[in-house]
Amino acid sequence: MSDAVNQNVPAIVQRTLNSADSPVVLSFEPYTKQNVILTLEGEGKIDVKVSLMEGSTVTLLWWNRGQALEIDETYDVGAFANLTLAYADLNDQTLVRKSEVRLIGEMAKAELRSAAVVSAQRNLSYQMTHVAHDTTSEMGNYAVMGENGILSMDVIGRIEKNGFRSNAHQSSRVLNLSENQKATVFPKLYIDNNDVQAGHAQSIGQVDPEQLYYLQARGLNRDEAVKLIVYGYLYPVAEVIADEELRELFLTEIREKVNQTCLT
Amino acid sequence: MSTLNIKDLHVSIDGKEILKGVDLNVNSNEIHALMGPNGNGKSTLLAAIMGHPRYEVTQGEITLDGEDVLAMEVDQRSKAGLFLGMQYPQEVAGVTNSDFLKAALNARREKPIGLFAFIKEMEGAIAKLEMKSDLAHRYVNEGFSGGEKKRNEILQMMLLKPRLAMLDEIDSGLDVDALKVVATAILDEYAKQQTGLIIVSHYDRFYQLIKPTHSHVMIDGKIVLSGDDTLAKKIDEEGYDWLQKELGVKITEVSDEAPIVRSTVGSLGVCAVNPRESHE
Repeated sequence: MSDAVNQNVPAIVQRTLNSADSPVVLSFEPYTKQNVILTLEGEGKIDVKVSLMEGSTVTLLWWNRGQALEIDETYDVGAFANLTLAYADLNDQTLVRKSEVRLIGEMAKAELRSAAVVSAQRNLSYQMTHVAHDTTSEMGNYAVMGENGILSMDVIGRIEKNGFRSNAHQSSRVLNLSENQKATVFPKLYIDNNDVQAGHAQSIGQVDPEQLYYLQARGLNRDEAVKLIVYGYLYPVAEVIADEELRELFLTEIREKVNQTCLT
Repeated sequence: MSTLNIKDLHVSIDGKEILKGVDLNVNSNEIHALMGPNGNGKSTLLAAIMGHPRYEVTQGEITLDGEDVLAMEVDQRSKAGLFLGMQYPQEVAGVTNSDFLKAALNARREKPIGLFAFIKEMEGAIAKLEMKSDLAHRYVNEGFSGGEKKRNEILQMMLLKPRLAMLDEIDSGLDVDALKVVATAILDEYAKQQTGLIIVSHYDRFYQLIKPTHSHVMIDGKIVLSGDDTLAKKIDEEGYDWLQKELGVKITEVSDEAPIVRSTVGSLGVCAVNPRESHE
């Protein structure tokens, strides 16, 4: 199955995927712009292959509504192409996700942001591979750990031999809402060229009791206050989305899912 | 008509007794000035009334119109009509002021407030406090100047319309013009809602604008003297030393307790190859 998209107006294309669709192949024509929302459903394994041809600009949003899914994604980003990926993994199901972005053409750029509320087993791997020179990658992963959440997250930046003058940056943040959880983040940088910039940062913490008190002193009960803090915590994930309509959709998804979740 | 009644209140922090038997009665249409040297229990009293989790009430009672305040959670106290304008307002990243205020208003309503009514009310309050119009869309207190944070506290008070409002050093960080704006806003609310007010300030210039109906001096966890508004002026001019002689109380000024600075996150580690300066 192959979808060729060639439009100048970046309308929002919505698709629902389940394991029967696998492998899913998406290809974006040179110098096109596209906004896509992909909703995952069902269970089982789904392979997704996406290629961005030269100069294309694509924003891809992922809603996870599935159960026990195993997702394997690869993205090939061509010269001067621009990929924005935003993940909303906010349900209470197990998930295995492996996502690799390959920056194969010069000046290719990719930004990835993920928002996760974790109250089951999650094995996540996000990788940016700089194959070509003058490529840029930026990753920001935000996880909120709920009761019984087990998170293992690999965040990998790889700059290959020919990746000179490339930029690879990543940050990961974890917010613990429960004592009964385990979060492990593995930030990794593999660099085979000296003329590059790369960095990683990660942090882990709890809800600030002073912040909680402040919101409660204005009449929000504990649950409402925590949800507002969590929503604010995940907000930066949406900032990467340039299109206003798409950003609002993303924020609505976060708000609704956070409101439905039992966090405390 | 509302009444906040405090009887023989003893409060400890981490096992150390700060309040040692406070009695206070505040009604609607009254403005009480609470004075005293730093570290003698003024902020502790207000925080204990609001229900800060760090402050442990070991003895005494607090009632609002006969209801037991000490049995209530913090949010229930707010819904019952208590408000504390804080000395160090918290920042909440990623949450806009308008989302926060809407949530706070809806928490005390059966039906959510209509968007139009909310915007009208919020914009009215913003204009009255002479705040920047983008305030609604900024994150709660994030990147606010000290004065903006204080005005934002009064903004919240105006929208939440408490029966009894406590303002903890709300005037610090405000310049003379801002002080007048804030005082006018407070007095208008007081007139409109018949709010009872407890005001902690170190400055007579604020009390001159607000014109308290009652004044109290708190020393070593007790209210040692109560009077009318002339007390504030006298203290502003003469300090607290005369009290020591007249009342025979011993005054120890303790440096004001620093706000609890606790970052939400503790970094596990940062390392980089040619790190960019601004990278998180």
